[in-house]
Amino acid sequence: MTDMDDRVDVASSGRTIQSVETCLALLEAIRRGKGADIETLAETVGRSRSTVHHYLTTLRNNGYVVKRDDGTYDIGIRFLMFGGYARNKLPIFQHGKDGVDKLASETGETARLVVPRFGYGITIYQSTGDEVSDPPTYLGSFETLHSTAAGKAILAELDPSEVEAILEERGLIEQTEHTTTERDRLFEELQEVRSTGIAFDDEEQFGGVRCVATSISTTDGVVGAISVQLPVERAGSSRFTEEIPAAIQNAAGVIEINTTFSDWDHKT
Amino acid sequence: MHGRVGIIGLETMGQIYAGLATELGLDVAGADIRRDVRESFAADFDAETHRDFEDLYAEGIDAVVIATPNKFHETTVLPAIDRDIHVFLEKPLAHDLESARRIVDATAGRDLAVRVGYYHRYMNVVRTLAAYLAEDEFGDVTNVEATHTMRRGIPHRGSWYTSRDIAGGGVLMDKGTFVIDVLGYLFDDPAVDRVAASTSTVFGGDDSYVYLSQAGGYGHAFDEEPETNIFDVEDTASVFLTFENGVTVTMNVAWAENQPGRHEYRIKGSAGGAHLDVTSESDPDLSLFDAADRGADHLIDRQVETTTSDPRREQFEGFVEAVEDPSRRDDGHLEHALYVQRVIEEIYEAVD
Repeated sequence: MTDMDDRVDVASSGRTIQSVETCLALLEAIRRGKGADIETLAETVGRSRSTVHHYLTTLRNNGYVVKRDDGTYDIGIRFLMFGGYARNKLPIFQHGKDGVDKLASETGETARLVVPRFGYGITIYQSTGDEVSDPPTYLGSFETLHSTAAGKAILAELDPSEVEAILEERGLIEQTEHTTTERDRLFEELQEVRSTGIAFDDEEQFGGVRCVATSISTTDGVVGAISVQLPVERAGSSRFTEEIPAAIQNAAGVIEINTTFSDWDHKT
Repeated sequence: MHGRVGIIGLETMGQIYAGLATELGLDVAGADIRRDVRESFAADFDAETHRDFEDLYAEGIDAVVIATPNKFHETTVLPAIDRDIHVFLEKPLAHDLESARRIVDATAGRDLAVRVGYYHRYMNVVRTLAAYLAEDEFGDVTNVEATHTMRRGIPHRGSWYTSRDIAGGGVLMDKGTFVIDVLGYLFDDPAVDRVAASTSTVFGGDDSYVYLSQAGGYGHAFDEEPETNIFDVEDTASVFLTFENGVTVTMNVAWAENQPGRHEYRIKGSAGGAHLDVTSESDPDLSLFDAADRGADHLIDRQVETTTSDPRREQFEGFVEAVEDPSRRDDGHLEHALYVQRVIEEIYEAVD
């Protein structure tokens, strides 16, 4: 339960190590660029080419970055070990995985399990149905909360002061022309989410993609959300507003109960 | 028994059994993972409560009542059996047959009182009908019409009660089990030869569904909206069962239908018949029908009058007696509850 502390806290305090920050900035730059060469990276992080080269060599020797045939660098698979380790410790993953698979196969679309961390929503599990070829999200991808259905479902469960803190830190970034960027309107939407239990995102994070989500709470409060995303052309009105929301609430309810009661499983 | 009874699962059913235990002069203590139900239980019964059932077991209790969501019966009952704590389980035994079997297996070789809350056999009219059947009063029984329906009685719609994963099913698991229990009691757990079944969900997704306080419906007993909104189970089922003993059963169960609620059994035999009506448990009815030719040919209708009592209470008293008296423990109740679970599973398989 220790990482519950990170659930909504966005600002950290205390001294940091500059070289670790630089290393993380490099990794982030590589990921954003879907691979990058030394020159670009040196420019991005504001360090010399030789310094960046030392960083990359260290990372590469340990399997955290790989060098591609064209001389550019990309993220190594070894990071998955950390993500897999962290994820396995989350009760919501243990008890949510099957429900997400079922939801994906029932709807034929992409279903995800999202947890809030550091003011973002992080996808800890994703399952795609038969209809899906190339979903815009992947395991570990993270998005701002205000622009996604899963994020809004989570925000609706938090105290207004916690919501304010997150918006303050992460901003109401305009991800698409449809993103809600006005604070008051977002709070109105959250009120609606609270009353219906369902959150929507109508091309607010990715153009051409709609999302439906509902939150998952245990006795510890909100622990995540489950969402289904589908392209606009398959999101006919009743499918988007009734059928998929009902399926999501069925799945989320079961995950919520199983996660809540999982505290009883540890001893037999 | 002047002992202490633990109650696990402190929603409506747990509260009912806590009330019965208190009336019998027993001390109660509770456990539930959900804080809100824990707090209201503590206030209502002036009882100690725990978040973890293990803490309740560890403090030393003589018996435990398990009234958790069905899926967690096994979770809580196996550690109780392990500690030689006597167990009263709210019905059904478990949410599925495998789980039910594991519970029954765990009790093997243990000298424990284990009962499952199928209480209709504690009604005098049901006992009387069983005795008439045992004496072949009606000749060869060919068919039984069994009906357990409510007008508006979906239990806590949206909660675990209406989740296939957690409850194990819908009205068949909730009310169908009662019907199979009564039939099993009347006909000595007959093996099933064939099943045809059809289920539907009529009121599950209907937002205009109204709760009304009326006999047979207890959706209204829950005064709070559930935190979840799950409905993926049947609220209506029609079943045709053929037992190996030749008896057929036409069974209808519904949590909600646009008819007055009923809970009744019509027994049709070659030499006579019976109508058992337990729609009102406090005012049940048993009528016997046959024909004779003395003097002139004629039909005979007989009305059976018995005393009535609270069958749930009687069953619970029986459990407490079995806790006190080892000679009253091996009574086949658990095997019978497993029989009910097996028949319900066969019905669900026939639907799929």
